[in-house]
Amino acid sequence: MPLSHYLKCYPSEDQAGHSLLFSTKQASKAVVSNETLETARSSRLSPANERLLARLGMVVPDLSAERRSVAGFFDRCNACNPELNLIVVLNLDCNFACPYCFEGDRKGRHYMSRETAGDLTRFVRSHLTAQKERLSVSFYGGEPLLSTDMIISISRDLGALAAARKIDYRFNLISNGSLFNRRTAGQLKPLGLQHIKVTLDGPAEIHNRSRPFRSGAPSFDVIVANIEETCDLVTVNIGGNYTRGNYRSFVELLDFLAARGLGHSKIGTVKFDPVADAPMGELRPAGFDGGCRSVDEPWLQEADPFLREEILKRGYRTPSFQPITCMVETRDAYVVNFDGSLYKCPAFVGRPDYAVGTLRSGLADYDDVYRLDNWKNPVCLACEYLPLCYGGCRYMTLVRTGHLDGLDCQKHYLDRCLATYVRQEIKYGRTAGSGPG
Amino acid sequence: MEEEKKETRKEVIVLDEGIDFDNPVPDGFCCRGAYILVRG
Repeated sequence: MPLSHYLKCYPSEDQAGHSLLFSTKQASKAVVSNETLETARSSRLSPANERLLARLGMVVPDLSAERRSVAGFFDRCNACNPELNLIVVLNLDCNFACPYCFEGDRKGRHYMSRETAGDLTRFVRSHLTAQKERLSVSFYGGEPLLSTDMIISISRDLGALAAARKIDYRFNLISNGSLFNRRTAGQLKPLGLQHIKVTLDGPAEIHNRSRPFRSGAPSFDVIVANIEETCDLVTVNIGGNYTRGNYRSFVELLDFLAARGLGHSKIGTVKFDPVADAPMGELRPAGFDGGCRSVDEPWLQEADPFLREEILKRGYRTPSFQPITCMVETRDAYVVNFDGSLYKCPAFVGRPDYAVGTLRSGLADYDDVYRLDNWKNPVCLACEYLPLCYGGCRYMTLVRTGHLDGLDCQKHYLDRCLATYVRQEIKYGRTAGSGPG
Repeated sequence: MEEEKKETRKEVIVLDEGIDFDNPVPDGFCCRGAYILVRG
């Protein structure tokens, strides 16, 4: 059998004369002697080694069939997706005033009404087909915990609907963490709360400048205290948004958390991401100009591996490098805005050109709006990184160009960084995992 | 010890089986719209 088209070979840094193999398709990893690698290249592997590498997706019986399999990945995901997944934007209000907030001037005192919540339940009922085993909701905002009563009300309705179908209902929160105290966690957990993602933008001094309350008061201590008092009840995932100027200081945050007793055994996952710039043609939030426009920015290719190493070496889990499917390509996944309008990605909420229907009218065809299958072109189809990228992030394309014609190609970035990421995952074992970020 | 010796003599050392790419099972989103797959 020939080597997979989606196989990367890197020199082993630990064993002389050996290579590290990584399948961008299967995210499998193996170490082989260079001699064995040469026999694989010339299709002369022993039957036992060939079976083993075939199991890892590293040698394949038919290269054309393999390419068809990669091109059909989303079709297979959609065919067997056991979940109906909704991101529900409960409001566009917030008790924070983050200077880089990508929701910008779309924010305001806009809240989901009871009537829209009723429409949501009816929408779910009509889209919860017999093959579904789970109903999963992420409550989003604004700040979703400004709508705690609505979370309770919707969860009771959807929980009852799921129970009647004998399937699971579960939800999570994407929150700034300032309102998630033990009482609230205790209220929400019995209704199906699985985890909460809260954001800490580095150590207190940096975070309090990036994520102050609307009054200007610091929020760091409030959030940390809430994590301390809830992390035994609900899984807390920590995110953080860094810039070129402050990413190195995030190491201080990790040390601070560990010193406060919030080490890896207390936290679900940790993942830091760069702040994105405002989309081309839109005004940047006043006073902020530190956002990135592409993973290809050289500083990011230093910052991301650096922060990942610091996270992993302290034992925290962070999502591993593996194929992930964009929500846009996933058929049974929708974003519901507070007013009942529907989108295919949370980053596009409030941009009417990217609305794909409403809870009442149903879905319109969105294939053209979101440029589905934009990666089905000769360059992408020939790329060994296709399973990790599939054309990249549409929102980043919007940031760079102001529209979705084009791709967010990650080839150069992966050429520069993937070997480091793979070595990190090997060095720190299975700490990476794949938990939700 | 004997097991360890056998292991180091292996020509292919499997470190991670990865995901089942042919039968992917989605398992919820991270917050930015990326769908995570179940790992083997």
